[in-house]
Amino acid sequence: MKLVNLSPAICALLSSAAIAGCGSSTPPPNAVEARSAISAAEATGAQSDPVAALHLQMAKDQVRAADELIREGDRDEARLVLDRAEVDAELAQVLTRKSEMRARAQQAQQEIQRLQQSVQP
Amino acid sequence: MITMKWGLGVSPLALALALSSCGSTAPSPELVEARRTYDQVRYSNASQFAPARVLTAKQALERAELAHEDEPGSFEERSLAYVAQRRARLAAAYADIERSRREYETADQSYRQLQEQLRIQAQRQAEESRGNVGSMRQELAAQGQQLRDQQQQLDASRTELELRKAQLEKERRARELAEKNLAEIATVKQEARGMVITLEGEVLFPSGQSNLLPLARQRLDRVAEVLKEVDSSKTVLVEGHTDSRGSEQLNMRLSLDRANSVREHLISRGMEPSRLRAVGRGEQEPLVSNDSAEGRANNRRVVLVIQNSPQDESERGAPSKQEGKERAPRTPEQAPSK
Repeated sequence: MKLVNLSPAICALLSSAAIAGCGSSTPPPNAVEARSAISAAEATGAQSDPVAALHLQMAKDQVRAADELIREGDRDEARLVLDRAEVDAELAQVLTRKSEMRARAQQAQQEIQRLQQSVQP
Repeated sequence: MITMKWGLGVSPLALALALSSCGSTAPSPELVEARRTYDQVRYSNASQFAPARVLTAKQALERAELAHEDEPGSFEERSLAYVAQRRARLAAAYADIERSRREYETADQSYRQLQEQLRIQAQRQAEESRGNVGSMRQELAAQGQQLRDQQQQLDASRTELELRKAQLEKERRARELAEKNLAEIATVKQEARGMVITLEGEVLFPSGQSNLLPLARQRLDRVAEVLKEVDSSKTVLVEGHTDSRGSEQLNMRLSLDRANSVREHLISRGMEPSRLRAVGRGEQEPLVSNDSAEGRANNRRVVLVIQNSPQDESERGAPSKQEGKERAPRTPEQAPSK
């Protein structure tokens, strides 16, 4: 779903950039924040969570697309694409943590049930 | 890679959209999606758990809306909407994390409470079992005391038994001695009332008299030796018997006199007077028929009864006197020992 929504946007970006050429060059964008967000997501183990892994992949793809845009001189578009990459990487990381926290809470509750059974009799 | 894959089929459409969207006010699909996602988050409990994140998501959406107003369908609008949609999802995820964290903390708290409960329970059980051990120890101590008491009783009755045995042994030896020493001069029998030593009248007294023959004295000395071996608590009854010749009254007198002669001789040989009682039975208790001379000879006799004292009922010493009194009315002919 997200993939379907995303891809036309990138295509649109690429085509509009190509046709209108509306990129005004202010400070050069860099992928530092996006890349560190990707590293953080990978460090969290985003690859092992299916949804998180998808967003991690999107983040990486968009960083690559941004690199291409920068090479072509479309700095504003590149900046926007890098923002998307960063937010996808953050989402990948947070979704992974969410799964972990849920598992931890469930485990604790199961542990309590186990203890309660040993207290009752 | 994704862009390339999609690029083939979608790019012309996207291009067309980009070209035609200049005058249109319709929101981009990204903005539609961002609004929808944000609404979901706004009406969920996310603001309760992650209000700052929801605010961030709202601001991201506002930026996308601004970009839309500025230039509907622009790349900026779509990108900002894309980001806003992620921000909304991030708010939801952060809220989820916070909720799970609180659940975990609650669980952790109850976990520790339960552990404390378990610890107290285990402690109580340990104390209980310690208490049980204590009461069992008390019980054992009580049983031990009981055992010691029983042991004492047993020891006491064993001592009594030993005494009794020793006494019986002494009696047995006395009887053996009597049988051995008196074999030629008397008959020795064990009867219910005690040991019975029967001396023939012929060897003791001249006919019709109560003074002892010299030979009789020697014989009675041997009897005295035996009697000294016998339990000193036992009374010795000296019975005189006659045959049926002559008057009954005379015979009674004679038998008593003869019994007294024997008694006195035994006293003269060191026996205690209180242990000896003399009775005359006359002709009342013949052993055999008086019809023949032999029968009459057998009936003339002096009988010494070493009386069994009722051990279980009374102390030694007492029974002899008691018995003496009881016997008295049954034998009115008895003369008090002189």
